[in-house]
Amino acid sequence: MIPEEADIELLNKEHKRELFSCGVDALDIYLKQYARQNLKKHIAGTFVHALPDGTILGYYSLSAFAIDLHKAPAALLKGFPDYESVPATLLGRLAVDKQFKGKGVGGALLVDALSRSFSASKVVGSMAVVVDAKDEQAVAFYSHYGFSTFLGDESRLYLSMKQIEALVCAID
Amino acid sequence: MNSKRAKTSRRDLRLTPNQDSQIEEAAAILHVSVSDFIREASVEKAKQVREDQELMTLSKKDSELFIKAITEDSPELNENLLKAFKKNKALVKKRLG
Repeated sequence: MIPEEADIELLNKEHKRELFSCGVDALDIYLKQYARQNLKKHIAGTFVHALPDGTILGYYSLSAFAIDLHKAPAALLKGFPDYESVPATLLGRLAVDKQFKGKGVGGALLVDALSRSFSASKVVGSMAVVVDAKDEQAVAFYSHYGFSTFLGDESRLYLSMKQIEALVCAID
Repeated sequence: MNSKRAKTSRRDLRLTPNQDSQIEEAAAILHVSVSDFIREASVEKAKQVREDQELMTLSKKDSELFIKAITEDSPELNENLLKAFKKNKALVKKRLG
């Protein structure tokens, strides 16, 4: 079980970034060295699942993204006047600390990221959440939750915002 | 993995003597051949650059599938994701509140 006092919030100085270890170097280094900078530069937001003492159970990062559809048959693009690309949200990273694996932290982070993306889509517009899967394990994680893989890029998967909206409505 | 050997291609590039010796030295430190070093380093860099892009161009087939998915009005819900949403209902409420 996830400790009840844990919450998911925007990364801040009180979070113990230096202790985080998920087993994938690139994801640890991002949290320690780049997440705060990217937040300050408005490049990407990083949200951490943390205990009140600052211990980080896991994190994810979100940024604006676009899908270029200019190769699509013109007939299909009818619903998208004047656009050759559509807005999306990139869930670029999602990682759970080794110590807290198997407790449902990944699922909670994913639900939080999708709900947050859906909420933001009402303000800036976003038609899908795209995820970057760093390895086969990550691909399996997102596939398990119904994400579709792009045929041209096996490391990226997506879920439509309508699907997220339907999930939100279903639990209401 | 496919049992047949994948097709490979050649790419020649020019290097200054200084660049060449820097690469040789680095490859020696890692105990890999110069070509392995160049291949791995540039593939890693290519990945990084692609990840930093804020735009992804889809093929014709992927565009068709993607458009179908994002315009589907009553999508079929994934059971596992629905379960996860139910389990974390409090989080969902907070984000939408």
